Amino acid sequence: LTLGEGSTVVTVPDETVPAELKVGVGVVSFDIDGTLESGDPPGPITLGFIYGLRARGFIIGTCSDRTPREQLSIWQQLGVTPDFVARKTELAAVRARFVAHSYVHVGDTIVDQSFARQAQFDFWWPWDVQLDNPEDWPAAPM
Amino acid sequence: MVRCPLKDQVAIVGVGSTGYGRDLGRTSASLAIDACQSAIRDAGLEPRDISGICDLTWNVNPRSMYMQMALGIPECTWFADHDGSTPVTHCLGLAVNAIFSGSADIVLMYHSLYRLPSLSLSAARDPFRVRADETSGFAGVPLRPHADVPGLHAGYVGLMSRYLYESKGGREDFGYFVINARTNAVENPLAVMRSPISMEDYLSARMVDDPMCLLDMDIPVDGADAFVLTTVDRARDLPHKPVVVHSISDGRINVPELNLERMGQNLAVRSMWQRSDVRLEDIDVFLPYDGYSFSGVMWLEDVGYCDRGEGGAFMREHWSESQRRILINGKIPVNSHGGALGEGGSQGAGQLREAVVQLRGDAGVRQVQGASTALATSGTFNQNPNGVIFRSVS
Repeated sequence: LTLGEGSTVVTVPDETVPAELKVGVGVVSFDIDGTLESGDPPGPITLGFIYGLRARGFIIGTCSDRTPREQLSIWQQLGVTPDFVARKTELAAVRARFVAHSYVHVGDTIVDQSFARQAQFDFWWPWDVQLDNPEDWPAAPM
Repeated sequence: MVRCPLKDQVAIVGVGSTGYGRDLGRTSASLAIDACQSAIRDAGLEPRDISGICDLTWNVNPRSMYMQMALGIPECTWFADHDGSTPVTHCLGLAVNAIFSGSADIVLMYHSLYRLPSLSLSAARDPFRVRADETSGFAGVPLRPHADVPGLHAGYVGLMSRYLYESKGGREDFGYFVINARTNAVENPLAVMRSPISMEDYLSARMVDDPMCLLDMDIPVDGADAFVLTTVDRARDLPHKPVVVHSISDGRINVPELNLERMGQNLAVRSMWQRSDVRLEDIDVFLPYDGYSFSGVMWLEDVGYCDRGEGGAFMREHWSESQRRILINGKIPVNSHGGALGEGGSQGAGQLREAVVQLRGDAGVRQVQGASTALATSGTFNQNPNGVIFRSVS
């Protein structure tokens, strides 16, 4: 996959990518299948919502059981360059890569919830995300 | 040679499939009806021609009486409904015997899948799927709210560990089988997973229950397959080249312990070969059941390509680096449709369909040139393995 010049995409872990830290308002990691509307099965999180987070300065990406290559392909189809893609078990590595005030993982299974807890991410079910009020989210993570 | 009077006497003359998906947005019954109608049309027949019907029950597969009414089949002189872990090839054997014995002339058999909460965590949010699971009693396993509750796969993890211990192999041995499945699925429009993976992808996939990772397990899907069978004489008057059942056998033994040298799989294959005029070197298409990666590797060994524990070395030896898949002797693909690990978990229905499609010469870019003989297996372990050899006849 061609990621584009100046891309901030990092595949975690990836020894070939410089390990410089990126600073953002917060890190929001999404599961894909059952979580994103482009997942299989589709989930409730819309592309517009992700655009909104990006515009507010959030670091966004996916942590999924899909391979990093598949995740990048999905992002490319959406026309979005994510800040990271990682395997579901690598949330802790994502946390180590970015400096932010908050770290959130959104997923539709208790496996997501478990890995989020291990990596000290706040966890949200996708159906609890306030899609209609994105400016306030994630003010009060569950 | 063992007595086998039904050899080459019954043919598959129609196949139908909905294709597989993670969420097709339809009920299991709807999918089954769709596949059955396709199979009957494919055979050049009408519902009124069907005289037997066989339900390959798996999770919420609709019962044969319901399907007979839904499809408008007026009369059946033979029917079979099965509960529990009944792989597709076992039901094929029942249908073949029913036709050979004269209980029915034309049999419709079908298998419908439904991604249930007990199989898939992401399905647990769908109230319709939850309700369906509550009524199914999947595979005799106590109902569970989520797929991560230890249950069905525990025995398979034990067997997989035993295999690694005795073969002194590594997880890469299973990785080759999984990569092969995903590569082959790319060319199958019915498959749910159509992106290839690498060994790195396999080895870094999430571990579910060591040594079994996510990619070692077949993919829960929605979808249905159906098959129409009749006598070989009747088959010659129908549109497609008949694909006959040459030899078929179940295999079950009375010792449930993890003895890799004496399993139901060994027996099913031995019995199948004893009833066959065909030998392993005659096989053009090999379609081993792969509900779990290691079961596919073990079938590779059981049918005789190599000895127990040598599957990994065999796959390395017959690996096509340019095509990223197994090609036995440079020409025989393994699960050319992607198998349960690539196309989607179908309890062997995908293997049967691919055998028919290949032997008809209708597999498109997947076609094995000149294929006339196929070997398919289903089931695993001790309780439900089966093997079948198909041949195409003019």
